[in-house]
Amino acid sequence: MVFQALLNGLVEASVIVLAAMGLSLIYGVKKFPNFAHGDMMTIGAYFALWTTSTLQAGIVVGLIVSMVFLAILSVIFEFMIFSRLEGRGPVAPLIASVGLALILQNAIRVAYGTGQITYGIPLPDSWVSGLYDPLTGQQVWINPLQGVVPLVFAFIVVLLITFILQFTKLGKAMRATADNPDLARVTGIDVRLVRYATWALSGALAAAGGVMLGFRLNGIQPLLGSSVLLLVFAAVILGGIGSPYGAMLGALVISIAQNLFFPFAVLTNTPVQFVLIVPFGIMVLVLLLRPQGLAGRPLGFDLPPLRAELRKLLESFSHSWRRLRG
Amino acid sequence: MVEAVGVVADLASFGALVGIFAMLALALNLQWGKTGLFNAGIAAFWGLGAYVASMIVTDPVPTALARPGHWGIDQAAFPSVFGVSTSFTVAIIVAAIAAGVLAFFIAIPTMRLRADYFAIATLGFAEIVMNVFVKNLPGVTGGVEGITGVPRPFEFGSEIWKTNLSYFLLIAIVTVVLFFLLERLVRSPWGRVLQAVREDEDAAQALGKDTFSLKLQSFVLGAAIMGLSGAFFAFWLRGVSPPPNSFTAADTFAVWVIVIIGGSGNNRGVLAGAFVVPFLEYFSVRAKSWFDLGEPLATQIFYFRLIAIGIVLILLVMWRPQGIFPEPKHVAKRPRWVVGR
Amino acid sequence: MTTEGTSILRTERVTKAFGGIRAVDGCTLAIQPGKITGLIGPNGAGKTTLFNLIAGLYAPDEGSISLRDERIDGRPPFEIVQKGVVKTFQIPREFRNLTVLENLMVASPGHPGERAVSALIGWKRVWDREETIRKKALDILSLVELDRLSDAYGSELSGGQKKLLELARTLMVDPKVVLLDEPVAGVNPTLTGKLLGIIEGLRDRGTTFFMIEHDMDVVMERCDRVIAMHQGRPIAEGEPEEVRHNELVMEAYLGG
Repeated sequence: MVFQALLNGLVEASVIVLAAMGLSLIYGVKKFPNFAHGDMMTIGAYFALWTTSTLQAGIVVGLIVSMVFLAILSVIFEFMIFSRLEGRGPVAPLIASVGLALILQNAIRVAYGTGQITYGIPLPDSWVSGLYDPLTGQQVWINPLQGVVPLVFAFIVVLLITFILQFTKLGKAMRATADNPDLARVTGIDVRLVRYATWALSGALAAAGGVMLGFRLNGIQPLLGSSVLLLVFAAVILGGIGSPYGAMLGALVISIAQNLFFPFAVLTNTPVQFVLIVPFGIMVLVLLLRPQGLAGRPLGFDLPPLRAELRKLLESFSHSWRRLRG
Repeated sequence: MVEAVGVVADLASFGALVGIFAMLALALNLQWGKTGLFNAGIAAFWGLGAYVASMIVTDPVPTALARPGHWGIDQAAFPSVFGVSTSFTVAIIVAAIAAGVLAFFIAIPTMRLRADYFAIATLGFAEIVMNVFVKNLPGVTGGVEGITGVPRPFEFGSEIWKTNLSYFLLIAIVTVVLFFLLERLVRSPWGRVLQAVREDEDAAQALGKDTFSLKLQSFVLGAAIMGLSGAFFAFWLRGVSPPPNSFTAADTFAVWVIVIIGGSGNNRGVLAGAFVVPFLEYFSVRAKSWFDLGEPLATQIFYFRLIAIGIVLILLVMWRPQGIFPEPKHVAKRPRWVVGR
Repeated sequence: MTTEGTSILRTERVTKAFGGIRAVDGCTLAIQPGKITGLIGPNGAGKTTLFNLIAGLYAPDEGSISLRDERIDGRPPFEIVQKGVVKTFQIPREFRNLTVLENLMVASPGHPGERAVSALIGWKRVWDREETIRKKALDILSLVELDRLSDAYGSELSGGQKKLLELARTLMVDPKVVLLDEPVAGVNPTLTGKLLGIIEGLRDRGTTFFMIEHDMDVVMERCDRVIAMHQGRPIAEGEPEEVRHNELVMEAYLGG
């Protein structure tokens, strides 16, 4: 049972990781949490649908077209909106992204209504993988299309992103800009270009994530992306904002932890609906105890350790109490 | 005559909702406009207040197969004053306190975070409270179905317009009193030091101010007001239900919209802005009959309204972030009604 | 170096490192009450870091800082201010959207009206206190000759006026020890004289001043004692003239 959970977690992570990497990149370069990221995923999913149904193309073509489309759209968003909010701190673009999310989500509702639509791809039944759970001796299941495809795809994309970030001039420029935009500018990096490129990449990843998610859930609906947005945030925060590798790790940990909850729930007789406490609980814990996440990038603001803060608070309470008593 | 009564009932109901959102917006204005705490967990404080109030004014419903039960209090235990049960007064007070307590525990670990991290953290906490706990405790909160049969403080049976109107007047009074109290608070030494903290926390600390405690006071007070609003919302809706029916992130964003439109930091502007969101809702529902719309436009108008809100939000942030009404510059003034002895 | 007599502020072997660099390294010194003590040293000697440590902005890695007999290291900045040690900012940090008068009134410590509950109930106590501190604020403003600007907003002041406001605000707190970080840097000579005159006047009334200053004329004319720092610790201490001609000090400045 545990092994199955691990495998399911891995597959789910492969869906989340795409969106998480995109979100992490934007957070690192543009320095704000993109609350429209979930709805960008949804747009990607629906655009793939449009491509397959209107253009009668296969889902693969749909995926690629959708990624390109959303990359372009993201660049437009940066041009029209976010570039004008530079230098004003994280709250202004955050609010703008909320507005954008409202627009995207409801544009989909206008175009497609609120019902669930599938890609219409026939799925084979889950087949046994030949792997055995060492504890229970049972065979472990994975669906070739819904399970293997996202895994393989995510693997390829991760390699691609790694290659871009590590070995291309653009990738290095992106990393430098995320680390220290002023220094990057001074060393001759075209920061504007980096920002557009990051948006394009993030958009493409969001689209891919949306399509994979719709694929895996076997249906898309207007809340597709936004319903997993907090989950994606949890992965990004756990991994460390601005670090796509951290986001990968974060997605893995959270998806696996979430799936491990099910055997745990069975064992301890906890109702299954409490599963959501895992990703949110992890996120909140990370924010409290280690806000820079696993990859530990600098926060950009001062933060004394929580224990010291709590101790100070306790001291000020006892101080006020003493004063109260006179 | 019948039509006029219907219109009154309608408008009163709309007015009550405006008051409820006005309370939320005034509270957020205190937390964010005056103190700089960007609260993205409004739905949780609002929802908790609504749920607590609902549980206090309804009898307990045991868990049954047909519907999940919920906690409650035997209404016979509450004495009546002027024919109105005191359970409502208790309910709104306890709802406010409950929301304040929740805020206290959430704020202590999260308040030191930068604004965007704080928003994500409060959003996460709100999800945990509403989507994980409230939604999934059938014997306590009514689970996925929520609580129904919540009465209004003044019931006039079939004369709906009287019920609605009296309720609207109640909310209006509470909102106005709240407005004046908050304005008083803002013009006090506390408001002044809070302004200093918001402008430059380090400088305020360098003057010996316990900025953490000050911010905590503001956050808890704001949350208590949100709980109060939640209680009134529960009476208005005559029930509560968990997300995704109510108390979602969308509601939180709606309150943001009101405060941003009205002008962050300006209570008067916020009151004006509080008309916008319920009005759009009201308009979308009525548009079908007013303009004789067919489908799909009749349903789509709801989405267009949200798209419009999104566009307005983006435009405001880009071009007029201070909102429509700018923040007033104030001096701490001695209130006229404080008379020396 | 020497910790003779009853010092009011004392550091014992205080060390603070950032990354691999020890900004303050085993610093032990004592400040005498009721005197103006100057702190000099080349750039990077650790003077500002030391001030930040005393003010509670950082906690020392090692060592202790004491105000009379009470340890203050590791305490939050606002507590240290409440105990009577105030640090001014080198670049004034006025509250731009408060008036000059409000800037001062907000600085007043222990105001009952600064708690949410008291503010609402509008007790006589709160508003009487407001009157008291208002008078005090106006007195201080006339001392620094800013009283005609009492209703101007912080953002409307000139650079020199902001410096005066910074000092005035500090005075509202009734501090025992004031840490001045280059109080007259970039200030015209007339204003410099005025500021330093006020500081000397306060010194005569018992306030202790600890002053980082690069202008040697100021140090020579106004300081009662001088401590010289280099590479994170004091290297000389004494009368201004003594320290100025101290070999180690001259080497430190030349060698850098």
